Amino acid sequence: MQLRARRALPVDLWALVLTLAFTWPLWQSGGYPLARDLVFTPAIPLRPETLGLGTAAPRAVPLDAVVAILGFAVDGAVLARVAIAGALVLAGMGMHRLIPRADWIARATVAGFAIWNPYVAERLALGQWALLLAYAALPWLVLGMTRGGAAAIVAPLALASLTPTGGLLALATVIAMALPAAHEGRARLRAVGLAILAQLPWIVPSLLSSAATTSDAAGLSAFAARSEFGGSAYLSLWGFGGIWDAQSVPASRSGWLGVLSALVGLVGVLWFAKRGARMSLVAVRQCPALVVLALGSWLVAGLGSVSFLQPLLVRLIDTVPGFGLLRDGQKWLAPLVLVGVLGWGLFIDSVLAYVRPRAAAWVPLLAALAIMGPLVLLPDATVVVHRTLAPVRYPAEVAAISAAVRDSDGAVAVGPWRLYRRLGWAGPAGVYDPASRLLDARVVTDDRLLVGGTSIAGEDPYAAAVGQALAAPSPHRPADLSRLGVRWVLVHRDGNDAELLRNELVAEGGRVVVGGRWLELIEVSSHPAAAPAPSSAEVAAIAGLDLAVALLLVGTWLAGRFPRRRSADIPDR
Amino acid sequence: MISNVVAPAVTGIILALVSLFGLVSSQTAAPDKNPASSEIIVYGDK
Repeated sequence: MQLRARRALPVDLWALVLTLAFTWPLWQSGGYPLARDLVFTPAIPLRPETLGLGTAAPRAVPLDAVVAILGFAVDGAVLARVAIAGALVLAGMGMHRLIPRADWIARATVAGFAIWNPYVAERLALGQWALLLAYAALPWLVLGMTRGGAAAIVAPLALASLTPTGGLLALATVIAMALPAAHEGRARLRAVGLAILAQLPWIVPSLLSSAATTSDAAGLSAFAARSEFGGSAYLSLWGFGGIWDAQSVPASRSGWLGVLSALVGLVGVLWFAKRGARMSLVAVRQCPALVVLALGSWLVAGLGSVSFLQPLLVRLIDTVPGFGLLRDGQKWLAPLVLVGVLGWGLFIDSVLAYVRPRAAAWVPLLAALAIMGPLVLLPDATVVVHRTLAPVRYPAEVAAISAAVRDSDGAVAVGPWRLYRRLGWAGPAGVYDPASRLLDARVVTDDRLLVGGTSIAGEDPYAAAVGQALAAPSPHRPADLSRLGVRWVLVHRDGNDAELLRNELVAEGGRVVVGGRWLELIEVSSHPAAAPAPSSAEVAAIAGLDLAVALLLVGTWLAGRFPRRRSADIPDR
Repeated sequence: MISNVVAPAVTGIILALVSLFGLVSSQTAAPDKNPASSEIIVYGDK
């Protein structure tokens, strides 16, 4: 039973209203959201690094390449609003479509809860919009898998697979939905194959990358799920919260509302296990698999916070490539949120079915409580989200700096040497250095992370060498940087050490090419050595692979939309 | 002798010590903000 558009529309509008409230700063003024991990620029230059062919680990692959290509047609300011708000609306619209038989009040509760919950609020406060695209794609993936074919999952699969984390979440969801129904035909197994192939754009570059294949295990405790209201972090995870970063957590999560949300999550998962097969589009066999996936995501999300497991995990992260993905566990919680939200909607539906024949007068009050419930459980979600989403405008000198480095040989090192900055022209929050998404040049930044008092080592050997050369003031520094292929140093004037670095570089013979209030571009070497770069063959191979995967996805979608007619179906003339 | 030599000498020494202490402290006291360091910007906090 599909949900007809007329029945879906009011609930879709509710999802839109909540999205507008959640993302209000984006609609209040122009500019680009720039805070924490949320970095939008007018356009990302399409470079080998955007395909994952830099010396850094390919974390935003193929996301950066897709954003760069879209940037030829759409400005980053528009793209930011469409992507962030679109992710939230899609999450709400997709979730309630999975329970078409439920009362509209239950569906509105589900649509609202899919948007207004701790997982979305905390991840958006940290600026991880691409993870939310994957989260939003999950209900549509489940919906597509209930319809059977690979063609039905193409769009959500492509959306989720823009990042490695999202791709793995999508793959796990497709497998959970396909395996219990594998005997029903090859279509579902084809969907699994498609989901695996969709991951190639980040798997292949990560195999080619010179970045360390293992991660710094110091990140395990730094990025471990965090207890928000006392007790184990696993309790906070039941309430869809538990992100590692205290700055991203709404204050209400530490009180009784946090405890209440854990109870809601628990009831939601239990109710989905009980009623999911009957009331949702998920088939009887697929329902337990989805519950197992949700419980698995909950277990994985909290692994880093279990003290007796930490030595084992540290060893695995230190030695086994790819295990670094386990460091930030809470991001894997999306399937639990999906199942918990759907189950809570089914619980509300059951309560309504019980109350309506016995005490109809109470239904309006119950409806109001249910629909507004997500906002009551997390009343201060916008406090953490709005300060991240507030857009800013780039300083005027960015255009001159972009023009100076475009098409020039040599890399741009960004100083003072740190990855996260507090930019005087942007908001008060620390922000990921936007230079690599602004300049059409090989940009080298620090890739170490500071979490509280813990420093987490980077994985890019080239960045480490450049950082070492840039850190040491000496008459040899320009020559050292030149040997590493660095021609330019972009100085963010964001602290006393910036002025010191700038004055030292000028004293060592550097030439200020662009001087502005917030940024300065200094040429330290006019004839640098070649910076590490992938070969033309590598670039061609990866670009070809990405194109092939894109064509495969489009072809699968077209084949599903316009099925080939068999000869028996063609009428005789 | 005491009023002509010892008292002025002791007073002079005390004044010199107090002035020296004041001068040294004013130049060595920790400033409100360390001008050599900038704020440490973190990715996040536990």
